[in-house]
Amino acid sequence: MNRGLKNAVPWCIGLSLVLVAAIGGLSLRSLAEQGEDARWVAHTHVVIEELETLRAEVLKAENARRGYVLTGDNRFRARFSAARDELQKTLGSLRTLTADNREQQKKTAELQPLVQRRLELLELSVSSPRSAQLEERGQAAYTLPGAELTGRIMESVNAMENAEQDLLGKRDAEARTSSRRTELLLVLGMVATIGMVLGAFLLLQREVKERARAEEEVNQFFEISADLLCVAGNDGYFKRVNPMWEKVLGFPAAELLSKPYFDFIHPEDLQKTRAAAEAASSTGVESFENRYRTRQGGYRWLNWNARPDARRGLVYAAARDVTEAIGARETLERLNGELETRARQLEETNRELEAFTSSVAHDLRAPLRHVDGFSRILVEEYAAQLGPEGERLVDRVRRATQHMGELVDDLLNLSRVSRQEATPLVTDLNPLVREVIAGLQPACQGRHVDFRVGSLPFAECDPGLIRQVFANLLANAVKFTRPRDPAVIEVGQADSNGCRAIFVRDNGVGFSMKYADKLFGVFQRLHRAEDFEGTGVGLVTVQRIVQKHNGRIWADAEVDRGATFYFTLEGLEERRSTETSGRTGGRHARV
Amino acid sequence: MPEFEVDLLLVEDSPEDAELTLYSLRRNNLANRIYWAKDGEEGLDFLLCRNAFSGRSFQHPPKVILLDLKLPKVDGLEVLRQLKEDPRTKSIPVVVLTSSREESDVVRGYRNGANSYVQKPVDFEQFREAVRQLGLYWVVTNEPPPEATFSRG
Repeated sequence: MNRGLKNAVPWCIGLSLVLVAAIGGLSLRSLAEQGEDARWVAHTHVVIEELETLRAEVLKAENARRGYVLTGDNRFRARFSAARDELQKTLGSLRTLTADNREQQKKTAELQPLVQRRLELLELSVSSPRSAQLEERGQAAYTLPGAELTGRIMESVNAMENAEQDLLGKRDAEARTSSRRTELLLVLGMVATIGMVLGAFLLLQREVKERARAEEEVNQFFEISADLLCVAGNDGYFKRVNPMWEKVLGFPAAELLSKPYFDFIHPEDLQKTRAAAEAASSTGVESFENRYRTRQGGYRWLNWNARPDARRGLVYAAARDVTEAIGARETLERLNGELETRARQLEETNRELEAFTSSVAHDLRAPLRHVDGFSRILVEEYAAQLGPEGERLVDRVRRATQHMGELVDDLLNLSRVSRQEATPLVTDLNPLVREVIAGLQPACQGRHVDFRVGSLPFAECDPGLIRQVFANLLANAVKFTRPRDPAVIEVGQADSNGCRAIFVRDNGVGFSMKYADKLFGVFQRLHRAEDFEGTGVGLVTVQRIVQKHNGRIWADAEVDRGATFYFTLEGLEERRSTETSGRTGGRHARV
Repeated sequence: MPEFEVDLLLVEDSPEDAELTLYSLRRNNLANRIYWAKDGEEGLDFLLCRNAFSGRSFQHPPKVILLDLKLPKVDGLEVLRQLKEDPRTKSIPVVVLTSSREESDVVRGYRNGANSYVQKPVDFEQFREAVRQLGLYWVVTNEPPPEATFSRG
């Protein structure tokens, strides 16, 4: 039901009440009016009656006089007196009765002297001596004007009577009209009231139906909810639970309702549940978790949301079975813990390994030094006894020692680089590369090596480590271009998959991409030692450094067609460094 | 005991390193008076004139100590710390001679009062050259601290 219709119900009822009140008022007024009308009709009748009396008494008086005149019997005289008295009384009565009507009052006033005179005449006639009474002439003197007076009296009475009759007719008509109007109003009022009441009734009925439907809907949800819904009283008992309770906990609803709900809660959760229940009955709770016993004796974790109805002393609550989620969470936490322990162990192992590497490298250096030292002394002190072949063999020993020394040094360096934290500084790569190239000059002695260095960017990196990257890559380029004349070695920047990369390219002997995966493995070499010397540690070190800068290194090469090494750095600046970069370097140093 | 009045004290546990060092010094005529202590404890005993060296006098310290860091019993850094704590020995120049190139070792060496830090190169030629220069500088060129330096207080 929409709001408009809902609001119509009180309006209908209100209006009906107003109408009923109006009808009541109208009825009362109508009753009062009818009473008034009846009173007036009665009044008119009284007046008419009095007029009739007047007429009758006048005739009575005349008859009495006549009787007296004819018979002289005193009884007639008494009758005349009675009629006269009656007439006086009637006149007085008429005066009183017509007080409300000026016309009738006037007529009454006119009537009164006529009656008086008539009575006087009759009186004279009655009072005259008996002899005179019988005298025809004498009596005629009374009779003729008397008859005329009587005629006028009768006329006047008739006129008054007519006026009263008119009044009666008018009043009657007015009363009828008023009564008809009242009837109409009453009927209309009744009809309207019945309409209103009927309307209100229909609306209410509709509302009741709607309510029933809404309740039915809510009930449906209550029945099918996957959550555990309940209404709990502040007395510690459930008032209503949905079927999910039985599904989850196994207890029938009746059992759940018959015991305090604390009986179903895990003993360890009792205290916090008490606190939560208190909170629920005042402000409500959200995401409160506790365990409920199941019929099988296990426990399920429930996550609660509750809202209080303080007026009724109830709490509406919805709980979700989160046992699995909590299990998963616990498993996750446990696994995370294990993972952390593993990571710590791994870190520890790594540290130990590095310490071991470093220690081994140190300890390896000493015997190498000894082998080298003593073989040298051997050559110096016993050259004569050794002979040329002996010297050559000792030389091989010393060369092997040197190589191992390099290996150990490279390994030591790798171990150091691995352990070292990169200290990033904003660095202009251009002078850095120039310095590295300058340092390679001895290796280029007697060769034609063409270094082509493009404009390089600034990078936020550890300059010492990045210098090692360029030193290794450029030394490799110099080494593997040995058969080339001229050797061309390029350094520059390139875009690779939308990412800025630095490259070092040479036109040297290259390598087969088949073995590219071995490039960055410790001691992995793609060339024979007799062709190109090396330890197989350099590129590993380079990769380690690039990874420390959250970068990536990869190579592109072809046998006899040269090789290109690319690497990215996290702190590689997008802007190309310009000729003035040297001067703006100070500005960047603040970064 | 005059045998303990030496120019140079070598504290070195490796006989090979000791021999190579001594050979290099000898070849350069710098090894006239050398005492070789084979571990840190012996080195400390020698310098602090105790136990077997109780007859030694603080008045005749070596001109320089060549100290290896990795030593059994008492390690080089501890030797360095103890002799730099003692007013009678703290003025003796100490050259740390070790195969360790670890920065932390170098830092600790200097912090503990080492006057010089030399890494033993694998290449014997370089090693010999380093030892020669050391001997030449500390035994011949450098003016040793006067005797008064070695008295208590």
